[in-house]
Amino acid sequence: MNDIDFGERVRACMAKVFDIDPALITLESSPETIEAWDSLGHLNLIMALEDEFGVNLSDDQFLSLTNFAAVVTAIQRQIK
Amino acid sequence: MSGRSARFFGGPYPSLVFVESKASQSDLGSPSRQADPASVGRFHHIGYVVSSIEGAVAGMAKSLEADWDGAIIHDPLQTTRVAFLYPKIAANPVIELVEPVGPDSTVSRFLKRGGGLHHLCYEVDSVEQELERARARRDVIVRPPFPAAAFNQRKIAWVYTRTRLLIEYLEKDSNARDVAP
Repeated sequence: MNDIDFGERVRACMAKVFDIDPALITLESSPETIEAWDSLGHLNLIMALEDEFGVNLSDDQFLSLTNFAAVVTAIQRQIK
Repeated sequence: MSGRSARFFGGPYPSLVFVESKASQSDLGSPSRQADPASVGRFHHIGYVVSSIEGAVAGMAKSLEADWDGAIIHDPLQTTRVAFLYPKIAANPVIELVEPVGPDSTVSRFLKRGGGLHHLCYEVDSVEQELERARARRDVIVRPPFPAAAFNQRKIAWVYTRTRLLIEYLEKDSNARDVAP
């Protein structure tokens, strides 16, 4: 899978969890810019990503994935 | 702590916690199954988010037949104000009313969705040990231990269960005066 496809899968996952248009998600998208991205939204996102990519994210990752770019990077590292 | 992290990870939603049966191994018919010697601790209170403690407390106290001691505690680390309603019947739960302080409060977004029932709190011997148990269950620690103003700086931590229940763990401290029974 190339990086573009990978990023798009993460974007689609995030858009579904937060019920927003994928086109609105940028590298800088974060809890500051997405209203539904609160702590419960974050839990939902982590669980959706774990299901989508078959990974287990740690507590440290849970606390550090605070924007779209960080999410993509962390998932990429997990599956490589 | 930045405003963002405070709002994002501060706490207040949690899983029902299943405590292992105290039945003996022979009762269970399986020599390999062992009862879990630890427990989740004592149930402490239910958190309920409101827009205004002053506006809600009288009605809540009347509805629940509970008493309010008049105290409202500001917790700057959680960006909340809290008040406790004590039940007239001891077996009933203490209710913690939680009000956001400012738009970046940990509970502001929850309140925007209507507020209401928010978390369960358990008092435990060791927050750190309870977090280890939570990790073993693959629950998610949303805020590591920190001192809580509402409990005389006793340690608390926040955990989401995989069933999307928010739990607060409060560490016991026999030397501290507690605001809740």
